[in-house]
Amino acid sequence: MSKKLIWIFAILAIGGALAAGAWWYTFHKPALNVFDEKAVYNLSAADLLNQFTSNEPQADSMYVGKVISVEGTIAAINTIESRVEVSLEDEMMGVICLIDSAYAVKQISEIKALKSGDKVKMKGKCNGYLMDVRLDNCVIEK
Amino acid sequence: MKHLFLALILISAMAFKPADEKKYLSKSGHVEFSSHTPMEDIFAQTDQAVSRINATTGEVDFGILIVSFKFKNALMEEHFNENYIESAKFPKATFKGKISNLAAINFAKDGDYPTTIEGNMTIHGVTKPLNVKGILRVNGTKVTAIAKFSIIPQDYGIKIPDLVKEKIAKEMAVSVNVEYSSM
Repeated sequence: MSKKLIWIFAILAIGGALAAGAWWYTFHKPALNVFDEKAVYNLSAADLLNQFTSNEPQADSMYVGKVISVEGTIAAINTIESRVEVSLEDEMMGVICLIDSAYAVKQISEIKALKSGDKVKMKGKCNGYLMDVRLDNCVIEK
Repeated sequence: MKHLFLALILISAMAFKPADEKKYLSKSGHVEFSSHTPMEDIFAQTDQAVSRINATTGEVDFGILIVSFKFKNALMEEHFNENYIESAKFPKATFKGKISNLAAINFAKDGDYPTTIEGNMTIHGVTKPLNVKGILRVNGTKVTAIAKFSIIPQDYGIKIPDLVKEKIAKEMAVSVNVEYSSM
């Protein structure tokens, strides 16, 4: 077998492996896991809310789609089916941190310990501003 | 000082608000959309839609933060946000409309009321008129809105590259289920 032929086989094998990898990745790209994700920004819920109410387009470009960490006072805790919504600062116009059902199962004892009036730090993906600033995929940090 | 001023405006606004105005609010509305082709099925949903119904005037408004849509496939979700709907530039989809047959709906009496909400939908920064047929279900102090309709992405300036045209249906089937509480 000539050297050339070995090279061709090697290139084909590597190309095939790359294509298979890309194919696999298309269907198995892991979903966002906030537990392992580092927050891009750390700020208070009041500051976040203020940034969205004073300049929404700027806040959108900074925070939307990003994992951020916010600290604030719990105004209300609502359980809807198996999801938990924690409102910070104000129940009507505050920061709502949604603990999705898959995340809630992993944090049962932490959720039980939450009380209105307490300070809490939550990490989650910021979705933007719609009456409230919304975060989902939330993890209770402390 | 600024807050005091705001509070005063709010208080005076409340004082002048007609006492009999009946409003409903939801911040956890369910919206899903799907596309079916022989090549690929796409399905996404959110439980974070915010909507208000003013039962006195018949006005309805509706908002969704695009990034809140969850897909089964994470890469699909990324493509949807970055390439198609450009959620960083247009983070919201909104609908503002009016109940066309308000007189036929008795918010004080339990039951299913068929209705059409005539309004305007804004997606991807483009506004188009849209009439949504559905049901308003009155159950005590709660109202549930149930509707199904379809959206053509091209109408809203969303470009689908030729490469994936076979995989994405021309029309997206949208299904809405929102449970409102009295405000």
